[in-house]
Amino acid sequence: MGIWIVLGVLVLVAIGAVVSYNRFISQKNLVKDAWANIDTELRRRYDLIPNLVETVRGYATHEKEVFENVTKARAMATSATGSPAAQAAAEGPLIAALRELLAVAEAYPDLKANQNFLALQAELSNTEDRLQTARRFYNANVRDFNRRVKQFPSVLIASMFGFKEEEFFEVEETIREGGPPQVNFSQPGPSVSFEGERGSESSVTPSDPTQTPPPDRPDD
Amino acid sequence: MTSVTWIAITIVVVVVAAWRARHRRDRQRQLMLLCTRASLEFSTFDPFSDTTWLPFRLFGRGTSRGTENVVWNDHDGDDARAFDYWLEERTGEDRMPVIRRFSCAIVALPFACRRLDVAPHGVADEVRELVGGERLDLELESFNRRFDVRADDRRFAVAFLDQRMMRATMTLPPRISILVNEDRMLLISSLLPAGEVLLLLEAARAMRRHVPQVVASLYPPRPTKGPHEDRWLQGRWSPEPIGDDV
Repeated sequence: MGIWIVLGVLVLVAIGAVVSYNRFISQKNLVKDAWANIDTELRRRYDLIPNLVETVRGYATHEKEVFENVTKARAMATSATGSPAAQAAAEGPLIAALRELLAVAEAYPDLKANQNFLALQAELSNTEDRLQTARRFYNANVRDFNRRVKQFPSVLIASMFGFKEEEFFEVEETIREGGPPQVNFSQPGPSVSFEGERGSESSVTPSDPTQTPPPDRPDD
Repeated sequence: MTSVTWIAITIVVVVVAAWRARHRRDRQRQLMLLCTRASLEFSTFDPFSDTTWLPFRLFGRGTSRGTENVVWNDHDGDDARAFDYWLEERTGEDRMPVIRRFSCAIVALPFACRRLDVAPHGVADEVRELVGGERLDLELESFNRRFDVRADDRRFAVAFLDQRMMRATMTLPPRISILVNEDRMLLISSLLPAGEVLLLLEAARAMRRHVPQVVASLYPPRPTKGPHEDRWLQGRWSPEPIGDDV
């Protein structure tokens, strides 16, 4: 009887180990796919830069240093093929150079009204949003993977099969001036609260429902 | 049991039923009054034909179901509406009918969304769209502590719930869940008092305004007509033309 119990326990442990290993493989593939998404968006950004430089150069021919900085930074970022941390480090100078280029464009009203420039700017902004989403998705998968690598009992499987913590992809700067958009919920806005609700985390009192509601407020 | 006991039980049942009916009428009357003051449209029955076709499993459950006390704004072309939804289920060994009532607010989204379920911890499974499976943890710990997020597509969930959207969600009262599927977002709660129904409607509109614009880029809206429509309905939509479309 005792031997059957021992065998049963061993079988359960083996099944658990197989399940844990397969989960590690799935998570690792998720991390790889997420990194591929980031790479796609980074390539989109790199592909936009030459057009952007040429459009600005048509109006600001004397800003040679700015154009060279952008071109050099783009070349360095494009050729960075190391770890996510190395890629993130290579993106920093490119972002700084792009911000400088956009700042130069601000001084030329004709350029700011140029349809091609506006389209490129919109596309760049869209690409930044997509890149941020891809980065968040990648980091979320890395967070889950790293948690399992460190937690017991999956840490045993990780050390047995060589699963190590993955690197996050953290970029310090963004192309938009002032960094990512800031949200301030202390100002009157569309957020609502329910009167008499205990333990509610909402902090803004809405318009009284018995009164005519105000017109829709603009987005934050 | 003696006949006196039976009579007492019958009286109690009748009184409770009468009280509940009166309470529902009062609530309905109060809601009607609030809608009139707020220049909103109100109907005791559902004038919209698509409520039972909304892409959420809640609307297909139960042996019978219904929609009542519908609130909407007819003036500015807004498609948002709030309503009471009830469904009858037979549960337990004795299969006694149980009626469950919810307050709902629905808005359309200009995206082709995947199924997403954001519910406060402890919300009953009957409200959930996705039960079981892995939950998704996001960057804000305070959000993770309060909400349970499950999604068919983790990438969509991350795109939909950026920090701004998470903070907006955290301003909602504790018992409201957000369900997203196809091109609809549903805010749902247990039955709310009349005044809070209008706030639920406004909350749905506000949440729609907070949806990140990048979602439209990553998950473009489904084509409503044209050569791709059939392929969409057959579950194999692709933007690439095939066959006669080339």
